[in-house]
Amino acid sequence: MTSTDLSRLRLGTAPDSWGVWFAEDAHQVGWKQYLDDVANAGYVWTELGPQGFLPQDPQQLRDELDQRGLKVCGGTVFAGLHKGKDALDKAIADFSREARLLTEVGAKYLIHLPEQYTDMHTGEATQSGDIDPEQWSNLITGTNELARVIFEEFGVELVFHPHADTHVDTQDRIEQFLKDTDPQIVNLCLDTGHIAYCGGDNFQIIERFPERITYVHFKLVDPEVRERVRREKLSLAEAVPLGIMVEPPYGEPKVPALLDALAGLDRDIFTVIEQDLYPIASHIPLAIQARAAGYFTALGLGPIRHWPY
Amino acid sequence: MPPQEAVQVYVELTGFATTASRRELADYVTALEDAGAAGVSVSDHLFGTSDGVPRSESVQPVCEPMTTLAAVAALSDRLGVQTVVANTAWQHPALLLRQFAQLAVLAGGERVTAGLGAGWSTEEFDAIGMGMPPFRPRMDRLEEVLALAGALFVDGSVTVNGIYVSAQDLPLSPRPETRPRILVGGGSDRILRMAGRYADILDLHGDPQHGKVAGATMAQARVGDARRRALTTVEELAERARLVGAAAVEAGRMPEDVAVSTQIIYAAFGDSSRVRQAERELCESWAGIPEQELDRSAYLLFGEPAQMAAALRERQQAYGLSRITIMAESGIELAPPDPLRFCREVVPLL
Repeated sequence: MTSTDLSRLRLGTAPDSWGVWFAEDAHQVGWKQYLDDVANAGYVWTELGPQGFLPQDPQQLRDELDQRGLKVCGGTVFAGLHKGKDALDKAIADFSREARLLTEVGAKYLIHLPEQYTDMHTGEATQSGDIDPEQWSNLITGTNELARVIFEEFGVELVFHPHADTHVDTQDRIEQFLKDTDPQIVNLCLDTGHIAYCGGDNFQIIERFPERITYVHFKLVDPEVRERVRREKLSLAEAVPLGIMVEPPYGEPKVPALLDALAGLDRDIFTVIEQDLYPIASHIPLAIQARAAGYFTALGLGPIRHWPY
Repeated sequence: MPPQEAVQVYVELTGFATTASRRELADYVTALEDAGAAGVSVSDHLFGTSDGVPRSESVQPVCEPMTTLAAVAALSDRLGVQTVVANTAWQHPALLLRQFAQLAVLAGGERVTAGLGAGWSTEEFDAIGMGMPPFRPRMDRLEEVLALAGALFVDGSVTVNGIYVSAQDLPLSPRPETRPRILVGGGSDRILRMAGRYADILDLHGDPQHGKVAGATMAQARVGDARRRALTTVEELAERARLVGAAAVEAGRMPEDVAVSTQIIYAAFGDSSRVRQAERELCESWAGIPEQELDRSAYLLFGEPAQMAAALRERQQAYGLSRITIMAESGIELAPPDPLRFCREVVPLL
């Protein structure tokens, strides 16, 4: 057991942990099973998942959450802001829609996922993995602008999520991104698995940018699979079915040390468990996430309900 | 990285086996295997009694453990067999230990858990004219029994001259390829130290801070035990388990050399109203305590199967829980324990 006080870290889960990557897909669980499973495992906080996965009507969404005693901590939307003005306009529309839904369910964090340069189904390259100075500038100014709009209009905070197979993946790029963006308005969703997958050091990032760590995706990487990914130059879509992301306490970074580092920030931070699993048989995720819930409870991280809803 | 092994689920068989024919036992063994049980567990009593009724009217027959386990070992290719615990006080321990050795020959030693205890019911000791010794000499004798069992199973023969147990060039006979695991059950500091020194598995009882487990009759002792278990939390058992680990280190072993098992007295499935009803009944009929929340009790499980799986994973992390025994009788009327349902619904999530 860790001796650190973890009471300011709030545990949540997300559709990603049920193998949900798309609003709709034949190889994913449906939203009803997702919500049932989350509640049955005892979680209280959930994300909305890919835009369009959960009901989009605010009243229906509230009803479905209330029936199961669930609360929403955040939502996720992809955007390719490096592409310039048109991409920013589209992002403002998409993010505003999601931000509106988040405010309807009392949530205040919107996670900005950068667009992947590989196809999420096939892993094939869809654009260059390099980013030129103009594209970088588009990404920075676009992110600042997007964050400003959704905060001013909805009171929702944008947290940027560095991500494998995108232009903000390595520690160097992440640190550059944090230096270039406006710290008043753009902060970080630290996805521990994506950072470890791309060879970054989560602990260094927490140490160097403590004020920017606003939200956490708690994801763990199997180092042996990562070696193979590097050797064979595989895409994320190819790495996930190989089991690149594993259930706690296995994988990297080490769970107790990471929780200590996050608790050391002494702020209210959502730590949302994620384990990329797409595609997966529909009965597997509940077992994994039930075990994870028990594991984190033993470490003193919650809330997890012992009682059924 | 090898994944941590799932908690093993054993099912209490004493009540069922007391009247089961070969055919009935065979069917139940098949059902347990299909449901995902890891093994069966039996206790060792001469008989059961209830309070307030003369023994001649209140005696309940119970099964003979070693014969029962032999039958299960023969009927199944897979199920583990354990005693929690065999009373070693009534005979020379060598006689009992060779029964476990024979089981290990028959089933493979990895399937056999020799749970060894000192006895605690004065009624039973009285019934065979022995008189029950006080706690301390019973514990001293059990310690000698455990030392003998360890030497016999590991070295293949033993010479000891104890205060209670002696053996001269006693060979292990029969001689299984893999020795049985040795289990000790209890919750006192003394038992915890013994487990750290000698046992492969400790069946951990409730925290002694929650009252005494003693009485002139089985029923009185059971009330004390139930109260203790109801009030012992997961956090408290984690503290107790640390003492076992320390005792193991003191004896030159590793803390993880002693696995922890516990009974699960009751698993209350269902929505919150059903769970609260079960909780009320458990307070009143089982534990004899004022109505209160029991969801931190280390011997109970509540809610949906996934919540039970989460609770077991928490206990695995908190005190190395590696095996549970699902009890088949709880004394509550609302819904009797359903070990098969537990195995079917919870085991796949572990």
